[in-house]
Amino acid sequence: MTSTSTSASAGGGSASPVPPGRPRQSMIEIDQLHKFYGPFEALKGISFTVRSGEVVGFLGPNGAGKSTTMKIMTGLMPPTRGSVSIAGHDVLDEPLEVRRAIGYLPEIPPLYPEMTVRDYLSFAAELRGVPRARRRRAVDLALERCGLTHMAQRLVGNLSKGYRQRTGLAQAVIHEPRVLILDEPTVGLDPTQVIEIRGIVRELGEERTVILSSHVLPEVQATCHRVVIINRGLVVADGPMDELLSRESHGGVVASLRRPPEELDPLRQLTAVRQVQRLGEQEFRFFLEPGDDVRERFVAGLANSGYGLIEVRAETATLEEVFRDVVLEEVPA
Amino acid sequence: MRFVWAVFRREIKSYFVSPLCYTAIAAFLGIMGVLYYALLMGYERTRLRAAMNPLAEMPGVENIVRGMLGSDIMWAFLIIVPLLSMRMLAWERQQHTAELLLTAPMTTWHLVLGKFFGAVFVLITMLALAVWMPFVVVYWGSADPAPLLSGILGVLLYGALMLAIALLASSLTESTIQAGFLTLLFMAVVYVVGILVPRVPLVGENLEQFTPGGNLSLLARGVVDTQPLVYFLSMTALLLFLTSQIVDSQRWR
Ligand SMILES: Nc1ncnc2c1ncn2[C@@H]1O[C@H](COP(=O)(O)OP(=O)(O)OP(=O)(O)O)[C@@H](O)[C@H]1O
Ligand SMILES: [Mg+2]
Repeated sequence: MTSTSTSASAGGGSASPVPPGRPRQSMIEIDQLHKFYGPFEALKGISFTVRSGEVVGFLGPNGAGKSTTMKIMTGLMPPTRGSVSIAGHDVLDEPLEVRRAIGYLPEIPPLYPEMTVRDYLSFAAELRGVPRARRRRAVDLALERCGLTHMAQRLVGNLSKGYRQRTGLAQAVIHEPRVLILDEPTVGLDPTQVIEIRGIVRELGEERTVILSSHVLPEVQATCHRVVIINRGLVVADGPMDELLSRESHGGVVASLRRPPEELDPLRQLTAVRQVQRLGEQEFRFFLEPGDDVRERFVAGLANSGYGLIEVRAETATLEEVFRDVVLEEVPA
Repeated sequence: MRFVWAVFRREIKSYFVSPLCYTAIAAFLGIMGVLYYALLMGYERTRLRAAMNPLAEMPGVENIVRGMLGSDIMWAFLIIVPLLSMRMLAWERQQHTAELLLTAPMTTWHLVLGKFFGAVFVLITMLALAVWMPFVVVYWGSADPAPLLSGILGVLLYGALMLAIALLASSLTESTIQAGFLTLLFMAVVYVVGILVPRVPLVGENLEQFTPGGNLSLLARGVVDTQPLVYFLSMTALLLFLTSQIVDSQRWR
């Protein structure tokens, strides 16, 4: 029922994946998280919920508090105030239950340079409680998933940065956790690797809950159902990808005209047009009147106008624009 | 327990590909060798002096064994235990593998025990490589082997206690160098106390049973008593417990 997201993984289309439409309970609940590092308040009351099966992009500029939030989610450090519960278990009260449910890729992959990739993953599987009988298969599967099979006998310390990152990711998924917490999983990877990782995340996201932080916005736009953006320790945007994108787009239509009029006025007179902006020599942005069939009427009118319509497209916002908007709102440029 | 086993196995594999581990073993054997030689020379001198004096008794070799199992081994540990502490908890933090261990579904106690037994394994390896020295002496000197056997047990227990100190020290910092120096400092304090305690007037002798060195020398004299065994095991367990509490409290800081 979620075939759209798998088939799109290789192509990396621009449409954001549709969340699977099944009843889902919340897997991650973050409530009013505050964190002080000494006198410095890194988190100022972060709250959001992630439902089972969602793939959530966790965004924010450097120093926003993403890694801090993720460390608190894994029980590596306590919040100063507030609570986190994962798969129904409070991080402070039932840390072992929480740790059984999660796979975690920290910002710096936790690798032993003196071990081979296979040994390392086998150790990770053992630590995550994968029974001995299933360990070898789990390691093989993780190697394959992360494109590491041919590197299995290499020493981790001799791997390139991208392969280290993959090894870190393989470690996080080895026990097929219900909740995956990935702190910048695609950092240091080349574009093909990024697409592969995107595939892995999606594949896992079919069954599992994933929260991943990233600075690569097109990446997030292509992988995640939902986005939570934080800035300076506060949530500044939170919602389904489609919703955020459509909120940001101005509802404009951009058209290229071979023979545009000298002035903007004649364009303003066209059917269904409310406002016009000049974007370039031949390019204009039209804001239309509200209504269901306005685009249809507008395009028909424009085509018959004699200005030589050669291209027309509806404007959709990119995640970059959303990000810039919500983050810059806070920080005066 | 399977978590302890997992951590322990990884520790050992890692130790035996690590230059630091081989440095520590080489240093241990070197120090023991030099001290062994010095003891033999010292023995030789007293023996010659005794041979020239018809009234003197020929000295036995027991003092050599006692020296090796007592102060010699203590000095050797003062060098190698801080070296080993550099691969304990601070090391995991420094290379960020602590995140892997601390987010695994095991308790901190499992982690601490796994790391501890890993280091004890290295200790046993070292002792196994050096143990021929006192055995040669006992064999050629036709001395009673019992004190040597109980002494070796004592050295093992004493070493394990020092490793527990090292583990505790390494839980207090994120830098392996600092862990090494902190271990050295803690051990130095233990040694100085051990040297000063017997000199306390009146009660000195009674207090000696509370120092690691005092208990070691009990065992090295061939006194296999429950007192030193209980002492070493409970002190070690206490330190390991403290270490796991410290690591947990850092998680909750
Ligand atoms: N151990 C620490 N002690 C003091 N301040 C810290 C500590 N860790 C993080 N901070 C501060 O807390 C803030 C949030 O840091 P955090 O690492 O969570 O940001 P981030 O969103 O992950 O950033 P990045 O995108 O650079 O990874 C930063 O201002 C950082 O300087
Ligand atoms: Mg970060």
